[in-house]
Amino acid sequence: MNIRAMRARAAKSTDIARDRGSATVFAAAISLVLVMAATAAVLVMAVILASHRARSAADLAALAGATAEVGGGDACQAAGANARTNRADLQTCQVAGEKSSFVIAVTVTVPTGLRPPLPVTVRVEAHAGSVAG
Amino acid sequence: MKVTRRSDRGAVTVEAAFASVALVALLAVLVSAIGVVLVQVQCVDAAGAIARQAARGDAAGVAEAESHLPKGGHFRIRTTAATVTVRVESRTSVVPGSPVTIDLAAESTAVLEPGGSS
Repeated sequence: MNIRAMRARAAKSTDIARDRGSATVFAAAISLVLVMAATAAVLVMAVILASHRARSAADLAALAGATAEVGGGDACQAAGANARTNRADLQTCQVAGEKSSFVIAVTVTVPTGLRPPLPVTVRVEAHAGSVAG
Repeated sequence: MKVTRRSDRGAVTVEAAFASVALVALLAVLVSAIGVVLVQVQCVDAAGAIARQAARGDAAGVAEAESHLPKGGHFRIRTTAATVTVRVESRTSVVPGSPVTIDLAAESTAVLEPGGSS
């Protein structure tokens, strides 16, 4: 029996699996991994983006509060108003020290747009104070 | 003896070729999405930094903060009596080098500091 005949007989028998389709299964498995990686990446990106927005908003809210404090206004109200303008929410606001030398501490949150098991908001703290001298 | 049956030989290679093209395309979409978000993050950071410097009336600081603009990005400063608003815009290729672009923007508002006027 020559090689060609052997191969033809092997192809007819049902107990020998053919290779056809095996690459598709392999590709499907890799696609699944890629899609899962993509989903994870999207979630991480949402949190990273929100954290940068929160960092920026917290810094500016603290500065707005400090500016109001120096000007004799309500520091926390000013900080809250500035945070809202930057689409962040002022969570806590504390002014320590007297007029000549004070520190304002604020925390703001920015929504990530994700669902509850995942972080819904990102919270960032920032400080500002009077310029010494 | 003649074999009339169509051979499976090469089938896996052809499948693998199609599959790898699809996988590379999927990977490219994933990587470019990450790239777009990174540019958006740059826009947010630049808007915040420029707004903070502009509120102090620090022209040199604004010039320094401009270096954090994403590639091809530009910004506009709007000043009111008490606040300064910076809007950073960037037209970014979805896939680097492709004509398909997406417009990204970020806005930041800071309260003008005493003695600072931009």
